[in-house]
Amino acid sequence: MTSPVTAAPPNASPGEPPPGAARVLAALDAVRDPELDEPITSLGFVTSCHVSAAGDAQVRLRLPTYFCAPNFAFLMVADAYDAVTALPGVRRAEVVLEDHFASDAINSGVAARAGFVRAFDGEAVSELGGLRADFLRKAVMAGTDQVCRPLLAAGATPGGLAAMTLGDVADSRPLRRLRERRAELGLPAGDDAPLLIDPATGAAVGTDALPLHLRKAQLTRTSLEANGSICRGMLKVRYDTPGQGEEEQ
Amino acid sequence: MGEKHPGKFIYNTRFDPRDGEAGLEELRRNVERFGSKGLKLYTAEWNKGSRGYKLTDPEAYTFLSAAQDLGIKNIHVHKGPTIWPLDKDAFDVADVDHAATDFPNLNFIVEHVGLPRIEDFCFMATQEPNVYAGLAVVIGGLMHARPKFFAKVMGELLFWVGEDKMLFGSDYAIWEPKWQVEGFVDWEMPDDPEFSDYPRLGTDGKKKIMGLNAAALYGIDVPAEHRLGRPGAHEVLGGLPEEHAASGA
Repeated sequence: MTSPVTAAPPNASPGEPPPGAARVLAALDAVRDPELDEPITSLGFVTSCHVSAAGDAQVRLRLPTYFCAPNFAFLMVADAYDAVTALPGVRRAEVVLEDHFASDAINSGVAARAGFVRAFDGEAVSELGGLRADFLRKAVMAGTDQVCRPLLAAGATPGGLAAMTLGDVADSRPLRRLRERRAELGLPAGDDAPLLIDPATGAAVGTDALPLHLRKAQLTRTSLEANGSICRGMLKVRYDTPGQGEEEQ
Repeated sequence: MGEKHPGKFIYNTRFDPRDGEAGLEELRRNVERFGSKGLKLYTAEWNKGSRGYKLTDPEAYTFLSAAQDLGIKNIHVHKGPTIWPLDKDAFDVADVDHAATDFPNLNFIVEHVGLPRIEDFCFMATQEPNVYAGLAVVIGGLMHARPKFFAKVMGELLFWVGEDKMLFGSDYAIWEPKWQVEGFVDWEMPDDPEFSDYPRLGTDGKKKIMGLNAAALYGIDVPAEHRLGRPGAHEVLGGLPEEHAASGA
């Protein structure tokens, strides 16, 4: 039995009607696997999601293996907890990670708002902000490939890409995602920002450096998508029911 | 088994830099007994309260230096999925980068190419002439189970690392090599636009990956009928590992 994450949300608003399960699920769409850069919902990581008439939300999460990296698992449980408690009408949130070797430490650590180091007393020495930023930078690189590949296929030249701004690109889901990830890292993400930047420094990528940059973007996307496909495959073998909001790929 | 079939096996050995003087002594005994030219390291292994080490630790440099003096040429480093240390990225290949620069006469074969983070491995390997890609798990785990992903990973490795620096590995004991060997001999890059900008792998390239590259690293005399039938091939095949590393740069 895993110990659940339960705590009164900081922003409990008396009188607000409780959100439906669909609303909670929509809030969980904003929680991503930091490594795969995909929502935990579409990945199939949400086992169940309920809200009682009194506003008590209960979310159960699952992962592809018993041994999935505990640092990433911790971030997902903590983010899910934050997303659910932020919903108006939620009186109490309970987020439970099931079937994981570190379920107890993660669930009780998140419930106590303890942070990663305290949750894994003696086994970890640093918090996870740096890890998250590393993977956001990878997401920016992968997103660059998603946005640029169609442009190149449509005849854009590397020199042309180097001169483009984000505002020059037609709106699309990958473009919005790329902007969001850049903004999360504090990198320029407005219409006048260069389309191609170094995700470590934010500096524009010049024409000379561009072929290598695009090749790196492609490699990063390949790696990310491949990992996603492996995780989906393992989840499917582990659980024979689809997750809430799971999307086939 | 090796004693029953003299001359048919090449023994690699190991060390753990946290074993101190006793570990150095054991390394000397092993090299003397087995005539080893290579060793396998697990940097994420736990040992006496330590949750892993880096190749750049001073103790590791002491051991690498001692191994080099004993005639070791090839350092196989396991960089693949592990759980601990909890807050570190156990797939991190940055330590190989530094060690490969500081020990230019040693060859570093990164086993499992840092999966699932092949992008980090590729960026690093492309800058270091003495870093090689070990394909254990890549072929066995992906070729049949995830053919599209396998083709992309191979395409990226062929582009960044190149067919002169990729080594077959069978993961013998997890599974047997026959189906992997036969499958890889028959494998071809898919003829699909999605894979159009990846290098192709021909018969010569497959011969290198299946054995000629390893033969060069280990100084194995390749029978004439198995060598590549083109001019200049003998320079790669007959040379010492250092020469090979230099010519492959």
